[in-house]
Amino acid sequence: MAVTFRVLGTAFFLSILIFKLAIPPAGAVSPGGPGLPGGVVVADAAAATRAEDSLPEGRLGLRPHRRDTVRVSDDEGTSVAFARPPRRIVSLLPAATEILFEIGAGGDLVGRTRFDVHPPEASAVPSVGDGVRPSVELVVARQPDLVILFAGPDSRAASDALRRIGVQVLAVHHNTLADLHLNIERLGRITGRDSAAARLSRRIRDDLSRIRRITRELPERSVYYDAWWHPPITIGGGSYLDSLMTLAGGRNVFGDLASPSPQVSLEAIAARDPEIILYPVHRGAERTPIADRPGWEVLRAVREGRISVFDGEVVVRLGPRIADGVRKLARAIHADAFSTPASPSPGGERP
Amino acid sequence: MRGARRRDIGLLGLALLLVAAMSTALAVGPAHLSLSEIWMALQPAAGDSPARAILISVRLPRIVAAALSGAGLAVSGVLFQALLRNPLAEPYLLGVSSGAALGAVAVLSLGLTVGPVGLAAAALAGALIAIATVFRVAYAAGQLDTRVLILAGVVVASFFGAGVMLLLTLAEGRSARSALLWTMGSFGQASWQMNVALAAYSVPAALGAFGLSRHLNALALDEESAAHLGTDVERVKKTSYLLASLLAAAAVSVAGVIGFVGLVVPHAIRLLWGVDHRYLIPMSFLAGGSLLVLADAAARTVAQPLEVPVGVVTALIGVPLFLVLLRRGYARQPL
Amino acid sequence: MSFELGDAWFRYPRSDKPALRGVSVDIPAGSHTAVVGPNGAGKTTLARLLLGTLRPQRGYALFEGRSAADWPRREMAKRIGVVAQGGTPALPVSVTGFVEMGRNPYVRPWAPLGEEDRAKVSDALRRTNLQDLASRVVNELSGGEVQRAKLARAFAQDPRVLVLDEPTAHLDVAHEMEIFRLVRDFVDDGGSAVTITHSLHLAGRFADRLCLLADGRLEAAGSPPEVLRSGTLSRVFDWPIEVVALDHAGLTGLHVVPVDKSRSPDRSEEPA
Repeated sequence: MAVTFRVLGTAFFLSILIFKLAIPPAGAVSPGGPGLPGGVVVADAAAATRAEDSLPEGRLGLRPHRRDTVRVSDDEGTSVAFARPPRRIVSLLPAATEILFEIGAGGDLVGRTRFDVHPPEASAVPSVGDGVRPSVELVVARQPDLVILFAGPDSRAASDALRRIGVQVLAVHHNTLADLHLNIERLGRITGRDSAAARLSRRIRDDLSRIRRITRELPERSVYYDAWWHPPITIGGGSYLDSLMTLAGGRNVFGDLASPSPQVSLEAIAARDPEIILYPVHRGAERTPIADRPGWEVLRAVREGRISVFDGEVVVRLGPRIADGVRKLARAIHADAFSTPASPSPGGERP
Repeated sequence: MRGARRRDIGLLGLALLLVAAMSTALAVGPAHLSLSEIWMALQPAAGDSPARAILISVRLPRIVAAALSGAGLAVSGVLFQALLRNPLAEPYLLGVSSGAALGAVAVLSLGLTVGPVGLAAAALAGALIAIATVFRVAYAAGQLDTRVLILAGVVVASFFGAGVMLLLTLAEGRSARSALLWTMGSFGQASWQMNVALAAYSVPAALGAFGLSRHLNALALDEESAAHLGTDVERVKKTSYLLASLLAAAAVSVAGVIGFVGLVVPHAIRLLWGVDHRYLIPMSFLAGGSLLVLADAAARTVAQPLEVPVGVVTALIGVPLFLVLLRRGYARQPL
Repeated sequence: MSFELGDAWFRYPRSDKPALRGVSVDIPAGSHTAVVGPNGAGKTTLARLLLGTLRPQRGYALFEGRSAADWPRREMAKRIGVVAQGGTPALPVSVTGFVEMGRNPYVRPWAPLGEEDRAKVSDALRRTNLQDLASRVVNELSGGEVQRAKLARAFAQDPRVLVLDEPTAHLDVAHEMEIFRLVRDFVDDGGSAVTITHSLHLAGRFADRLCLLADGRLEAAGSPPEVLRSGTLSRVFDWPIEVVALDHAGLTGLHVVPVDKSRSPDRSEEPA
């Protein structure tokens, strides 16, 4: 018995030792790749932000011919550094693809995910498949000088492999409105389009506050968001949709749950008695209409017919069009107050 | 003696199959490289190029990981079938995969920022805990009771499986998806560093299994006969269990759960070349490696640019192949 | 002395009755010893103590002066060849492969069989007259052929001692004689043999010494005439048994005859 445990214990420690010896810690991977001088200083995001803040607003939106090496740190503790803006970008983040097109860098894209179909020009960029757990092989085949992807365990193997080959990787979180603005700023800085990025950020902020000015005057309505019904899955406080709902003048009845997509019970929904049930419609994902679901008449909102159907696609992507999505969300929650479309904003109502 | 020559030819054939499988796998992939491009890129003098990067840094680590895992899983299956005297035994029967899954899912759902290597280490730790628990229950008074081993293994597997489900329920959506992707199995996480660790486990364990082959043959008679033929029965059983579990643990830690290899490959070899473990073990090693290398190549290419879970491919390739062999009848090849 | 048992006790777990209760017996080298006794007398348990697969809970069981259970299996397998009870191995291996297993204790783990191993295997096949069946699959052989193959495997171990547990159960007369002849030859060539059998008359004919076990105790030990006595056998087997000295057409020996209780004992013991 003792011998066995010693054997297993030794095996375990041996494995840890092997891992430790064989694998340099993540931080030791040179973020710049072989093409860059060693000892690249990793600038923190705050420094990058301050540097950009100090730039005079409204400067020429054109790409400068010469500039100092730009360093931008990502959300995995590494950073990218460019003496000249990258010209072959692979975006594995649909929102980043939209942002790049929006700030005028769409022409530098050489790869995208199969879900990037907006703006229409994006479809002309070759697809490399999935954005999560991407095919490293296809990404490398595009010969990129920058790859943008989601930070997290699913993409980690890909980002490690790409960095080893010498491709610069920007691994970012993209879960909140703050992430959206930070990533717009990062992409603007990398591509040398800081002012276009600042304009885009400001436009989104302005649109959102315009909507908020209207919804603040309206009575707040409690909302159940019907993401899935069998079992019932909704959105929690950890989801950006929760904050969008607040902007749209709604109160998510499950906003107190930390998980972004908690599974709840019909009874729990009934106990929280939402005024409105939001029924987002997604292409290719048909769900049973709420009225046809056995047992759902237990909800007062169902009995009284306060079910609001809306196009869920408009809020799926946390990107440049998000204000448009929030407006549609507000219209779904406050059908009375938003009966006529609010004043269109530039770039907000793309087809 | 005719049987021996037949098996020697078979062994050579399987070695060539593995080489062919690895070459084929190197040549195919979602990025279309022509044979001449591949040839040029593989020249020692060739400089850095995207083709070279794809071949050396992307495809080759996967191929090596698939070969080592498949070989390890097949040998693990042979050992479990011999130890438990049960043709349905397979590497994951006794909770190795559930333990590994719990280790990996625990790390993922706690949101710890670990790379693929850290994830593999966590999975390995979980697998080793499961192995030790099952062994602790079944090993008493110097004897390994295989009936208790099966029961303890299956029960521990269920327990760890429930732990995985619990964590998945409590985890936020993003980590739940990561965990799900992990359990589906893929070699997309493979790297050279991981292969070093994988080889450090699989190769010695497979060699150890090969060294036991005469004793496993004797055990196939019955335990008492084996003892009279010079086999230290309890030690061989204990060693087989630990080697089989380590092989399965190493494979599952690197690639997630990949079914059917450990079950189908040993049986296919038995059907074709007989039950002698001196051949069954090296042949399963080669055939298991070949099967997973081909399955992974298919997983990368059939639905490109998407990747199909490799376990789906092994089942889709392995099961029909196996059924054909079964239909031909259990060919009783002399030892 | 090849085997020594001193006041050996053994009780199986979950059994309330000891299988052996204080058996002391010496089994000398160079002889053929038969262990006889009724069903459940403890014969197989005795063999397991001799072979070291069981350890006596009291007393001792020695092989060549060393506790049998403490022998490394490999070393013991170089000295003792075992032929277990009938029953076909479920393993689809050739007769050659089956006999080659007898070389297991001699071959290093990763090494192939050597010249000497192959020579021993073909010698064992020749002695048991199995050359023509060498490439047949062992689980397709007849019962007599399987027992010969087991004996060949034991011979391949190059042992000093053969231990046989009911080697001729289910075999017809010719095959029975064949096995006992081979064992007798082995002993005559300088080996030792211990045979567990319920066949009193074969034991009487082929063994030099007999051990009679009953209810876990040693009832008698010695030469066949010393052990095969009508009174002892009748008591041990709980059945009237007569022992007749046989001298017919050149055959000599003891003939053990169970009496048909329904008939008169005087008539039934008349030799045919």
